[in-house]
Amino acid sequence: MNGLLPWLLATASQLHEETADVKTITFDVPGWRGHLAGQHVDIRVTAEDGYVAQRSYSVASSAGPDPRIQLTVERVEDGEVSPFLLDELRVGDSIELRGPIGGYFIWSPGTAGPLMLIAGGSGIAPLMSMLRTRATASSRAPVRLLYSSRSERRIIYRRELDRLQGAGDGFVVTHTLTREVPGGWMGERGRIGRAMLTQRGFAPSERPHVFVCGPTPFVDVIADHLVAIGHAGSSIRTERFGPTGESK
Amino acid sequence: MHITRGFKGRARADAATRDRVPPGQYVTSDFPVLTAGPTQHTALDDWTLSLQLGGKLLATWDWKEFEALPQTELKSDIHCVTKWSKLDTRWRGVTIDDLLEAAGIAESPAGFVMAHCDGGYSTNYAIADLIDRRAMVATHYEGSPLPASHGGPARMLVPHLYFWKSAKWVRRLAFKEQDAPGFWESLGYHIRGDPWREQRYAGDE
Amino acid sequence: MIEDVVPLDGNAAAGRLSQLFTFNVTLATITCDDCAFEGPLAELRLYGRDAAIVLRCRHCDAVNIRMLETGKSVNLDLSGTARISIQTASG
Repeated sequence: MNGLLPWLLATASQLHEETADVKTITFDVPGWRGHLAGQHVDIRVTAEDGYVAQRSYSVASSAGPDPRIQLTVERVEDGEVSPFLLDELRVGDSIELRGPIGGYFIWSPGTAGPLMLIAGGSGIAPLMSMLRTRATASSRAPVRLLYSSRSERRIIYRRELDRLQGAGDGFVVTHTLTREVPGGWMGERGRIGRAMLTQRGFAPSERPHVFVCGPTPFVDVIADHLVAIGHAGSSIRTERFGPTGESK
Repeated sequence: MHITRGFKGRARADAATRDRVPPGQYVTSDFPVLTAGPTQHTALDDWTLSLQLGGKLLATWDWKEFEALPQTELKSDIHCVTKWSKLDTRWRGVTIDDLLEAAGIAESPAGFVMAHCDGGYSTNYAIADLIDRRAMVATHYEGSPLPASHGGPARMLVPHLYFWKSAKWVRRLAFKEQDAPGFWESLGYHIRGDPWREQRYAGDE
Repeated sequence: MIEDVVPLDGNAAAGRLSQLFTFNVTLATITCDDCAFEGPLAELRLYGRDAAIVLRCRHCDAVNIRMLETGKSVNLDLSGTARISIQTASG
């Protein structure tokens, strides 16, 4: 249930560079009613002349009532809000924020069954909330993450993903790089296709809960592949990211 | 509302251009877009433009015939209801006056027009907003054929009204005795949409 | 500049729609009035921008839901939706 979602004042308390174009911002949000893994927030920023911009970001931090939440923001080329969040926002600054939003793209540790997570670029953010939530709950639900990035230096949460995998509690991550592959790279190469989904994911017979997040073309192609290799459409949840606001 | 320290947003009008834009607008060099659906792709071989009155077809042109009509070039500012204005855009097409003349219609057969477009989009006009060189069916933008993503092969261009009235992928102009709201108008945008009177929403004077 | 429009999905409209629905609207099952396709609102294709939203059937592209925030009102057009169904707590 919602109730009306009010706009809350969120104050930045920590800024962390994940990659050259991605930052995680921790916001203190008095009045935050808690969130589930996979939910997102709308944020609203207002310039001095009254100009308003609104955007949506997934909550990347673990589910729960903690009023400190993390948003992971990627720079959008010629964007309007992401350059502000990445380059201007300082600790102590406040923005308006509304949430948690979403009841479809969510996962809770009580859910039985394996979890198959497929991320394109910054689409990793809501899936990271699921992984962190799983770890916090000491869940041993088997999880496989297929994570597509353009290059190694663009992989977000690299070390944390390695650490979570190292815990040996049933989480396996497969990275694939689509543009720049460094010498000595031990992961996959190229776009996620049916072969990679079959080899690195769960079989349809294992009835995994599948979550796919990333840019629209990525999500559309992956969802088609998943159905083609036998996954039930109803077991696949999708969330599409994209640049919003002005077009060219 | 909370003013966000440090947020400026996209570069907006400076004093020099401010007098040129209607109230509440900001100037951008980007092309402002308000989409309602997927980009339409119509092959020129399949394209026709028709004028209609009730069930009666008044005139129709295929692409070759349409391109052979008198061409008009204009330069205009465009104003999107989303508050973005783009200055000095250049277009080429056929004015509605020339269309009526080519159809052998001395004077509009009715007071209002509904534009119907590929993809199902529609928008409505009073005939006074289309004639006297106020509007055209545009086929070229900045000297090049209009790309599909900008409404090509042909779109309405009615720059003195908010840009949602410049309907993309126009195929049919239906003359009507009574005004009726088109796609955005029926959702709550203004029935006429004059940016100089800031007629964004139904109920705005 | 000349790429085709790339839509988002119903997830991105959820915050705005939450002003009008007491339940989590992304989970609602929408039946298309044109083709009878049924699916979660989250999977509808989202066009428009910010305050002017168009949600289209992912099967036939027909307009299912439109919403406009004018500053003074929130207008919702469900004429393209034959039915909205939300599961209440199961027994």
